[in-house]
Amino acid sequence: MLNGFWNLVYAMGLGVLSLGIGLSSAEAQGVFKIGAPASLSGKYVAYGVQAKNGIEHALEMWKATRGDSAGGRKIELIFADTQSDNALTVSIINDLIQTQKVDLIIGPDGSNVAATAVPPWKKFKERPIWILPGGSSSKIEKEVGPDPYFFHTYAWAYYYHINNVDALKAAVGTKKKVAFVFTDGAYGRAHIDDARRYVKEAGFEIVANELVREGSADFNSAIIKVRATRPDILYALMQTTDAVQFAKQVYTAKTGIPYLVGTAQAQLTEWQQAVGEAQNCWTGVTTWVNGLAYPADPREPKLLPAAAAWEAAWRAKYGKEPEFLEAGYYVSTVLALLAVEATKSVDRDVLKTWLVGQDYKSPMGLHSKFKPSEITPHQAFGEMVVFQRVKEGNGYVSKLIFPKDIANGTLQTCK
Amino acid sequence: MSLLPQFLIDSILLGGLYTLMAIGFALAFGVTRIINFAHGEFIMLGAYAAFWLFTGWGLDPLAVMPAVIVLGFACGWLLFKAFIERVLTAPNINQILLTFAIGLVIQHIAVILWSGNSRSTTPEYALKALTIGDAFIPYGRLIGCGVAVLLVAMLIAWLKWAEDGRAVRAVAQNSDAATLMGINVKGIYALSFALSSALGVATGVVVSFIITVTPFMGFPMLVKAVAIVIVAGMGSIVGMVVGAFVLAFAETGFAYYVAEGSGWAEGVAFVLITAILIIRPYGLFGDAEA
Repeated sequence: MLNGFWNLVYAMGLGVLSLGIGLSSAEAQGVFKIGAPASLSGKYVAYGVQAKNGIEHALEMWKATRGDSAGGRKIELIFADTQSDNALTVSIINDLIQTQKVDLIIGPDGSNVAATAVPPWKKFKERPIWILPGGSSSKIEKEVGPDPYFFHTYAWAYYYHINNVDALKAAVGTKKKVAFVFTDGAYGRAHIDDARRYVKEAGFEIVANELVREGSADFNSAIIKVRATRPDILYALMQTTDAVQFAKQVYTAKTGIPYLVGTAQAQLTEWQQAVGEAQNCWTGVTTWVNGLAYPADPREPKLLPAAAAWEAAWRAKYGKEPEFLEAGYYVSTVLALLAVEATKSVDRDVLKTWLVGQDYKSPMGLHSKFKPSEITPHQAFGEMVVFQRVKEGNGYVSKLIFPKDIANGTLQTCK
Repeated sequence: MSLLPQFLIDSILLGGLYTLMAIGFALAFGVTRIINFAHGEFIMLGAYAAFWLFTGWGLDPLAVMPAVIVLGFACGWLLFKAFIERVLTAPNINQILLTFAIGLVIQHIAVILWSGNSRSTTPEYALKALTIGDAFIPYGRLIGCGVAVLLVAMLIAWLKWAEDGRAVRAVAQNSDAATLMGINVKGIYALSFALSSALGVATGVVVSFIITVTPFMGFPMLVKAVAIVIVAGMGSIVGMVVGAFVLAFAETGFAYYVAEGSGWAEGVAFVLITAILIIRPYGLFGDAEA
């Protein structure tokens, strides 16, 4: 019995010793640990897969141009599946910070899941840098607050409306009537106040505000009530699932409304494929759309090539057009790797200082410069492009209509 | 511009859609007394079958409906034999948990196989409408309503005149008496469940061009079906159709004539359920002893 006890102590001692040796070895070699929470299953799996693609492509490009390490440190990527579940996201963030001790977090995707990641991340005093390339909800911005370690590389909800309104102003002037249709879910409610505010401030007349139920089997009543107000612009605020049915019902109703304005859905291949002909004339607003003409960054032309070249490389690799999250995650991962490479450090304050000081051109925008948003101090890629789906040949393409300097089309009225 | 004509059109067409959603659920519940929480997932599977056949082979959803119905019938029969038969005499909670679990499994498999992306079939008629003055009748929903009328008529005729149909009615009314009359009650249960599944996938085929197809589309439709059965009561197909139209008119009326009513219209279903459960717990057309 006593012998057994000492054997156990001996074994434990050896275990602790080998663990110590293991740690020292890892420290000596130096590791840059990236935590990547993503919805790789569940309801938001489409977003999670895009996040994963973007990060993996960035790492592949990095390895092809710089090798297996960044700043002399081995790159370790830890994907964690949130399963699109809020409670699980909390555990994952805890695990990534406390157990895995990651140096930097990229993700998670989607406003809902990202919002639940805020409290667990904020509770750690020594929290790592967090780069969020998705999630537009202002709720996230409010919860994060003016935190110096948070870097948002996507547009906040209100940027959608600032850009949409600027595009409309430039294209048709402000003497127009606008009708809103928004869902009662998180998306519609997160957007409606900002959308109304910027539309009103610009001088447009708001003639209808129709609330619809998320997941409703019929949007006709809202469409008919809106049509009765004879608006010039129909401004819809809803997530993709509702936006598919809504666009089809608007098309079928032949409302005669000259301009159909959406937010994120029109850029998504899934929406475009699901609505078919009904996509005609809808505008969308995004940070990335295929056909952008941004130049390559002169310092990093291989990692941050011209948008067209990056898009072509993506098509060659994945056999499909890149989605906005894929572009966002790619650029965000490259920025993180460049930061560690340049500073040769994973210290959050060193990385923060470096990230704040840089301004790269990228496939997703002319400036990666982090500037303050309404609340958070580090916001990049808030400048969005507005595009319109128009028929070309047998299919539909996105014509860029705003900003003017990169536009390749003008806003068309719906026929 | 009067909203009334469009309100009437939309209510009738939505009533047809709701009838489709509820018909299969009501049949299985009325005969086996098992609340099939996986019924919405059968609708979802029907919608995906239509979607893949449409996008993969360019087959029109209506053209593939008979084949999908046969497949749905076979799947329903297998599901009954593999799982449901084992809990026929089990407490209700076991039956509910089992069908709920089956629904979740089907839903998750759908997510794994087809992702959570929103999809839809877009046959030409799905985006066209018949315009009458200021009002319009969307062909897609009109076809949905037509399919509902056809399926309900076929079901009623089968229940009334076919031998198996009469046996189903007998089992639904009194399974003990039906057993004494020599009816194979378990066989009738299997037949009803399989038919219910077939009607579910048929509904899916129709909704594939009306609403958005996702792996999660089943549950909201199940809620509607449950509401309709509670409003109508058990044992009457005609009552179920009336229940579907009561719900459709109530929701659409709320959406058209109450400020911001579209957002709250679906709450009407729950108000109706609550009211019926308090005032007439056996439903508008149900039998108090059923």
